[in-house]
Amino acid sequence: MNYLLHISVMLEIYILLALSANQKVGLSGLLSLAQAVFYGLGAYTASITITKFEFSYWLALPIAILICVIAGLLFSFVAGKVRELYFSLATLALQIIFFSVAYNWIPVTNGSYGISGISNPEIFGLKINTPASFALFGGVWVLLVILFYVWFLKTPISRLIQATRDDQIAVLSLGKNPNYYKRISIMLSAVIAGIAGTLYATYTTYIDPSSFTLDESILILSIVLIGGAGRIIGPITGAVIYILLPELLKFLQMPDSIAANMRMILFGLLLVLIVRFKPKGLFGKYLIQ
Amino acid sequence: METTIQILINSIVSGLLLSLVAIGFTYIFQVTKVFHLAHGGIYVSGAFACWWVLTKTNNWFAAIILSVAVVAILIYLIEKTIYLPLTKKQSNQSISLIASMGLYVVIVNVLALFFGSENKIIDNTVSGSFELGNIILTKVQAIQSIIGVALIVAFLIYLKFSKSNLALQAVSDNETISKIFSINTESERTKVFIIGSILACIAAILKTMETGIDPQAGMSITLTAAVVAILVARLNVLLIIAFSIGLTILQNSVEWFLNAQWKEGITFLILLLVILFRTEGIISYNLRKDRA
Repeated sequence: MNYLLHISVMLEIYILLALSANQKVGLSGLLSLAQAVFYGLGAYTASITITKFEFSYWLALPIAILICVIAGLLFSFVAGKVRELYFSLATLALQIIFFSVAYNWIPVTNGSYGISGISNPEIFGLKINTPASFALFGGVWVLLVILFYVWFLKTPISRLIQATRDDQIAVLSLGKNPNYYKRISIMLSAVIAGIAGTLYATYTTYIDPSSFTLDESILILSIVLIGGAGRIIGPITGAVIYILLPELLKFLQMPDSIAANMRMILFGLLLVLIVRFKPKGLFGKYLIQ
Repeated sequence: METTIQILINSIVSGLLLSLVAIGFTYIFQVTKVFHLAHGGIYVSGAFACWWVLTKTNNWFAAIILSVAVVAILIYLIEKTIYLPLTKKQSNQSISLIASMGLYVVIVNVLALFFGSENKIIDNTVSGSFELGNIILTKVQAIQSIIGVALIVAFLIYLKFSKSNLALQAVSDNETISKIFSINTESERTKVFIIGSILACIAAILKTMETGIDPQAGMSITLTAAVVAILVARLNVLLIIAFSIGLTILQNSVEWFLNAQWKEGITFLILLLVILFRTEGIISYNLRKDRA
């Protein structure tokens, strides 16, 4: 039972990450390879404020969100300057620089030893420290973000964000600044990834740089592309496939040593096949060409 | 002083190996516009094929022939089933980048599945070194430099005496017009993929002689080669070599004077600055216009 609950917490974290990446990829058409940077920033900010300054989760969370907003703002200048492949490459570079800093800035991040002893969140004096309570807590976050998107996708600003994705010049001709909408999109995406990071840090109570690598960013992007970008259902499907794939392999009685590689082989293959034959992803709306 | 010379020598040798990977990467990128990160997968496949044949037969000749064949067949299949159809659909470059990442993940995990993730060492290799005072050049490094230089010379001769050089530049500049001038662009693409992959395969084998190989080893060198490709941004073998060696000297100095983990951070900081402020590459645009 605990294992099942653990799986659901991981699923909730990945749904949040996939929805945050969908904001960039699906709504803004920005293929970013740096989603793990914001995930990591959220996790590190929460961990440092909780362990070093003994803040509660509810004080650490707004600080993490603030840091992610600032980072998103800085990041959006990159998006304003370069497009398409060069945007992806610039984000790839940012991702690797972030990992280098997290790994080497020992006084703050404790390098490869990571940060341990991160305390669990509390609500009204109740400590969220069992898998069941955490699954519920994560579930509430996922629900909040989904509800937010149900509302947000109907707002004029979301339509302008999508218009910027489809035709920047048309947006300019309406007297709107496309970079402004990209900036909003990137900051929003950063905040959701940051929240996922705070959840991850307080759930596992230990983080180190190896959770926020380029591989993780590629994985998050793949989840969105496989599920399909642009709709809420797409990224959720992608995350479900990624998390449940190993369980399916276990069901087929595959030993653990093989299952880890097999999961990545199937996932990589799925990504290639989707890109090649079904570029919209399983349930996507926006076609990346 | 001696340390500096030693770092310089080591950097030049590893820079030569990097340039073999970077020449392939740059030519593939410039001609086909595919940002071929799966080059890292090709790199490790070649090294694993060589290691596997050596453990079975202990025959270097067979090992090299077979690994070159494996790499050539693998890249041929990838080009014909994935990259070429994507190009025909006029997909954006980011899409081929993603396909390429998917391929990389598949190749690396297939290798890990069959051979395990631990580092594989080739036993049957040369040992010993040449020493001049405190400066050391190992025999493996000597072999690496000789074969590396020989391959580059062979590639330059191939470019000079085949029609390919002009054809490649034409396809790189404009694929549609090249077709109108009856250049078989598909065969040029295939050629460039196969030649680039063979260069990477030999580089991987040479590197394996020194440090061994594990399935993840291809990513770091491919990313560095990609940085070289973006910095150079044109088809010029000598520039690619110069940038590869320069970048390796920088990386090794950072490793020596700061910390090994910073070296990738600094390499990619350079990439980020170049992308943001000189997207057309470090060499000035005017210089690049002369070529036309």
